[in-house]
Amino acid sequence: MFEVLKYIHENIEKNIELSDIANKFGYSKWHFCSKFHNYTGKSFVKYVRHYRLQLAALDILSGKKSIDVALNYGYETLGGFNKAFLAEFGCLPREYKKHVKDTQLYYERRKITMYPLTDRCETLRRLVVGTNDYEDYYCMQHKVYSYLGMAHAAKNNLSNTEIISSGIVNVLNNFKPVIIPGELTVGFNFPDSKYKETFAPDNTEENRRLAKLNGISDNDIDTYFKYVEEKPQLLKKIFPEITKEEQYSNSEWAAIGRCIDANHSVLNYEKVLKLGFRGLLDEITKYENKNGTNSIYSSMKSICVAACEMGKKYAEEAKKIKASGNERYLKDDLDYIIAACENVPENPAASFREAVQSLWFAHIINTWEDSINANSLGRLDQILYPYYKADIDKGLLTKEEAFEIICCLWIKLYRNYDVQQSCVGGTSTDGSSQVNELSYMMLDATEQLDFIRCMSVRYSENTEKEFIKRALEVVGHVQKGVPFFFNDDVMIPALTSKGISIEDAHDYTQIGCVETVIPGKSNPHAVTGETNLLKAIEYVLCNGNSMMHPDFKTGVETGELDKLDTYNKFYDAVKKQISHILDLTCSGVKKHTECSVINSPRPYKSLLTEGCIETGRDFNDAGAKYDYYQIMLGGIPNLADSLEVIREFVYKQKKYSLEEIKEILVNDYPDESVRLEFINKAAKFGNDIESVDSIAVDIVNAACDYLEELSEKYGLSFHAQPFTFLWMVDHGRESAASPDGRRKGEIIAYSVSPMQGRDFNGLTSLLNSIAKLPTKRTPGTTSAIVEVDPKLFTDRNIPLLADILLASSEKGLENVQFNTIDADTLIDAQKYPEKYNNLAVRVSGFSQKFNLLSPELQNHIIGRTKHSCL
Amino acid sequence: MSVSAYITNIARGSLHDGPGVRTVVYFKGCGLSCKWCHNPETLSAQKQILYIKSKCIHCGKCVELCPECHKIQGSDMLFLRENCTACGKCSDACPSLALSLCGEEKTVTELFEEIKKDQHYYTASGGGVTFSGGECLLHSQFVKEIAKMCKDKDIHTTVESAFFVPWKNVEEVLPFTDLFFADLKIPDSEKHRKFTGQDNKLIIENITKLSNIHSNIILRIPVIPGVNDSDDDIDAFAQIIKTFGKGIKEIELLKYNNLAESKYDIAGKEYTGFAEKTQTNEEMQKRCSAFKEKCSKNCYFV
Repeated sequence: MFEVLKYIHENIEKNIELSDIANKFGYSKWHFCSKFHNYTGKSFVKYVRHYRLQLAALDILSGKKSIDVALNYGYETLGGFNKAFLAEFGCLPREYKKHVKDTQLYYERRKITMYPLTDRCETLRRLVVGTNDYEDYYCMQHKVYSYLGMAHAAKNNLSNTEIISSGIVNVLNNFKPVIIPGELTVGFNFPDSKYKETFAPDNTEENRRLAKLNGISDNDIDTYFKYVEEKPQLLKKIFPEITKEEQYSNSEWAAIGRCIDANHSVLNYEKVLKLGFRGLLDEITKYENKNGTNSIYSSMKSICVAACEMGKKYAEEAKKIKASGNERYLKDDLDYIIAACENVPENPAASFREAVQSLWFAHIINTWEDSINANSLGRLDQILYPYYKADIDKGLLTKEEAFEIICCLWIKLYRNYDVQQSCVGGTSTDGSSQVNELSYMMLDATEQLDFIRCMSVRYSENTEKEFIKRALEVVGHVQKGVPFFFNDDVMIPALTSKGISIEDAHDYTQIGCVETVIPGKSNPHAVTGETNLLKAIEYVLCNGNSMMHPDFKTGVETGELDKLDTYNKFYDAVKKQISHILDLTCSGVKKHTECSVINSPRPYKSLLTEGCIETGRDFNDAGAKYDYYQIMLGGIPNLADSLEVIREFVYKQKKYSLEEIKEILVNDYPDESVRLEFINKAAKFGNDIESVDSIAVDIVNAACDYLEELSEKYGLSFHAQPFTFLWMVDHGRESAASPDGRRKGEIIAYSVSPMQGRDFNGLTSLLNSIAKLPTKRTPGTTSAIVEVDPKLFTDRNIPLLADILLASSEKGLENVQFNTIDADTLIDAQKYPEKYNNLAVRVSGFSQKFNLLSPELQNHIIGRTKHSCL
Repeated sequence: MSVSAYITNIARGSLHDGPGVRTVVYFKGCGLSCKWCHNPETLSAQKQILYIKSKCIHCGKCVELCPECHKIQGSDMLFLRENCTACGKCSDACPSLALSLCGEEKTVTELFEEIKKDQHYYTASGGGVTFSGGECLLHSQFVKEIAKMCKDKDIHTTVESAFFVPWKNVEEVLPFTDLFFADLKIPDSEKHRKFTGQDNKLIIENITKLSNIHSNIILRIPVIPGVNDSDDDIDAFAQIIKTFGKGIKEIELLKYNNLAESKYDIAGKEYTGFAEKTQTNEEMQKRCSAFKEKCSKNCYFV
C-alpha cells in the first residue's frame, strides 16, 4: 500500500482511475478498495480528492485563477471544482483566499487607521501624565461655589432638591473658565482627588492660597471658610434604624445592605446633543404644565437656565485671549472654541466637534452634582457616530481631525484616577454589529495615549472578528488591562429576564467597573448590597454564630454538627445561611433606600433620565424607567472550594469529622500539612472539574432564586452581581480560616476568578469553569479577571485569543478582563516603585496604578496564576 | 477492551504544537535519550515518582507509609529512588505535592473525555489534539484508537514524533493523523548516536517514507549550540531534507533554552544539557534564511 500512496502522490496531477491503479499493483478492484481504506482511513476517491484540493488551495493562495487550478487538477468545470472545494473547506475558493488575506490585511490595516498622536495631543498628554500642578489650579472652584450655593439655599429653608440644584447652579454661574493652550475641547470637572476625604477643605493658609489661585474672591473665600467652621447641616437627613444583627453583619463585612445613591450613572447626554439645554427647558415646561409644578421641575429648570450660559463663558474667555494676542494660543484653536461654545450646550450640536464639546459640558455638570467617581459616559461611538458621519459626508471633517478630537476628549476624561467608563462596540436589535469607524478610533486613541485605565468593549458572535482582534491587541500593547470585554449574547438575555425591554437591553453599557446600566433610562444602584457568602460556612459550623467574632450572632441556627450527618444536610444548612445573608442585605437596602429618597435627590440626573421628567419624580425616588439594585455576591469560589473539601474529607473519605474541621479552622490550621492537604487533595474551582464547578453553579443559582423571592418581599428589583470590587480584601480580613485552605484573614478570591494560584489547568479550563456559571441570570455581571502572560499577545496568537474569547462566550462567559503584567515585573515594582509610575494593573473592574495599591492588594495580584498557554 | 497508556501530562489551551488551540498529550517512554531532552520525566516507559525538594514541608507522612524509600536525615528528607516501585502510596499522601506520581494510566475513553472538554475551542480556532511525549508512537495502537475517535468528532490530530520506531507503528496512525511534526536532530549518524543514544538511520528512513505518502509534515529541528548549529550542519541537514518527499511542508527551528534543567533533578536524573550558550533571534533568523535557500522550503523559528 505504501507504494500505492507514493504513486498517487507522484501522479496526482494526472487522471488516476481506480481500476488502472488496482491493476497496476496487482489487486482486484474490491480487494484494492478495502485495503486502501484500511490503510488510509478514506476511500480511494475521497483520498485523491482530499489531496488534490489541499494542493489546489495552495495554488489559489499563490494567486492562480480558479479555472486554471480546476483544470490542472482534473476538474472539467469551475462549478464542479467550486462544489468540491466548498465541501472540503466550507467556503468557495475566492472566500478562502479572502479569509486568509483578511488575516494578513488585519495587520496592514493598523498602519492605515492608527493615526499617530499629533504634537498637540502629545503635549496635552504629557501635561496630564507628568504633572500635578495641573490639578491644583482647578480643584477649589467646585468645592467653594457648590458649598456656598447650597448653604445659601439651606438658610432660606429650601427643599433638599433645591439645595442640591442651588449648589450646581452656583458653580455654573461663578466658575472661572480656563482654557489650556492647545486644547480643542474645553471645560474641567474640577477633580477633587486632593480633597477626597473631606467634603470641605480646612481653613488653612495653603487652601486659602489655592482658592485665591483659582480666582475665587476674598469675600467668597471668607464666607466659605466661615460656613465650614460652623459646620451647618445643609441637607435635611433621616437615618435608618439598624438592628444589632445588621450592625454585626456590617462590621464583619458579611451582609452590607446600603443604598448607593450617588455618582454611579450614565445619563442621556444624547438628549443634550439633540435638544440643547434650551430645548430641555421647553420639555420640562411641557410636563410641568401637564403634571403640575413641583420643586423637582423648578430645580431642573434653574439648572438648564444656568447651563445655557456655560458655553458662552468659554467663548468670552477665548475672545479675551484672542484680543490679548497671547502667543501660546493658536488663533485657529480659539476661533474653533468660540464657534463651538457660542452654540453648545445651549442649542443642539450642529457638528461632530460641537457634539463632543456639548457632551463634555453635559458630563461635567453631572460630576458637579455628586463628584466624578463612577459617573460614566456610556456608548460614545454610538452617540457620536451620526455627527461624525454627517460631517465626513459633507466634507467638513477629516478622519485625522476626528481622531485628534477624540484624543482630546480622552485626555479630559481619563486625567483622574476615577472610573468614568466609556464603551465601544455592541449589537443592535436585529443582531447586526454596531462597530463603526469611531469604535476603532477610540481603541486607537486608548492605545496611543497609553494611560487610559477604564474602557470596555461590547461584542457578540456577530461582531467582526477583526474588531475583537484589534481590542485584544490593545490589551497586549497597552498592558493596563483595557479594554475589558462584555458579551452581548449573555448580557442581553440576562437583562431582559429582569423585565428590561429588548430594545433597551441592547443599549446597555457599564458604569465604573462592571456595573450594568441602561443609559439614560435606569438607576442601577450599583454595588448597593454587598455580601460575603463564604461566611455561610462559619455560621453552619458555629450554629449561627460568627467564627471570626464568636460573640456575633449573625447567622441563623442550623443545628448541632452531629445532626448534619450527610453532605446534603450540610449543604442545605449552608444554603439557609446564604438565604439569611441575602435577606439581611436586602432588608438593609430597603431601609437605606427609604432614607435616600429624602436625603439624596438628584435633580440633574433626573433631568437626563427617562421616566423622571415624565412623572416629576426624582432619580432616587424610583423615577427612572428602570429602577433596580445590584446585590454583590462575594466569596463564591472560596465557598465552592470549601464545600468540595468538606464533601471529600468529611462525608466521602470520612477522614475528618465536622467537629475536627471546626477545630482546625478555629485554630487557623495549626498543622500546615492539613492545610496543604485541603488545598491539594480536593478539586478546586477554575480547573474545569465538574464536581466542584457544579457547586459554584448551584450556589449562584440558589442566590438568584433567593434574590427573586426577596424582590417580592421588599418590592425592589434585585439583580445578582457576582462581583467583589476590591472589597475581597475586607471580606477576607473579617473571615475565619476556611476549609479551602485559606488562612484566617487572608484575602478571598476576586469576584468569580478562582482563588489566587488555585487554577493550574490552563486558560481554556479556567474560562470553561467561569462560563458554566448561570450568567444569564446575573445582569449585574459575573466578573472575572484572567491573568495572562504578556508574551502571549503576539501577532500570531491574537487571532487565537480572539477564537478562545468567542468560544468561551458561546459557552456563557459574561465579562472578562485581562491582566497582562508578569509577576517578576510586579515584584520589581514593589521594590522600586519609582521605576513604575505608569504601571497599572486590573484590580477589580478597574485598573489602578500599581504604586497606589496597598501591599496586601499588590500581593494578591502577584499571587494570581499567570496563564501562559505553553 | 480499551487500550491504556501512561500519560505524564495533558496540557490544555496550548497555542503551539499545531494549528489553533490545542490539547497536548504527553506519553511516557522514549527510544532516544537526547542529552538536551526537555521532558526528562517522559523518558522512562515506567511510572515513576517525582520529587520536588523545595515543596517538601517535612511532615513525615511518606516516611510513615514507606520507610524503605523515604528517610529523614537531619533537616533533610531523602528519597531513595533505587528502592522505589512507584506504588504511589507516598504521592497519594503527600499534602504539599512535593512527591507526585508521573505516568497516570489512562484508557482511550478516559483520555477522550479530557480532550472533548475543549472541543468548542478547537472548532472556533481550527485546533485539536497533539500527541507528544516521550515518543507517542511507541503507543501507536493507543494513538490510533484515540486519533480515530477524534476524527469521528472532526477534531484535528497532530502526531509529534522522533520516528525512532518501527515503520508499522507509523502506518498504524497514518490514516487518522492530519499533521505530523517530525523531529530531525542531527544529520551525522555517528554524532546522532553520541548525543541521543541511537543512530539516525531508522529515523531518516521513516521520514522519507512518510513524506512520500502524507502531505502535511512539518520538520522540527532543535537547534542545539555546539551540536548541530554550524554552517556545515545546515548543509548536511539540507542534503537529507532534499531526499525527502513532497509531504514536508515547512521547517520549524526550535530555539534552544535551558529551562528544563530543574526538571532533571525532580526526575532523579543528572542534567547533561548545555547551559551556557543560547542563540539570539538574529542568529536564528539567519539560520532560517539559510534553510529556506538550501532546502527551498518555508522555514521559521519558535
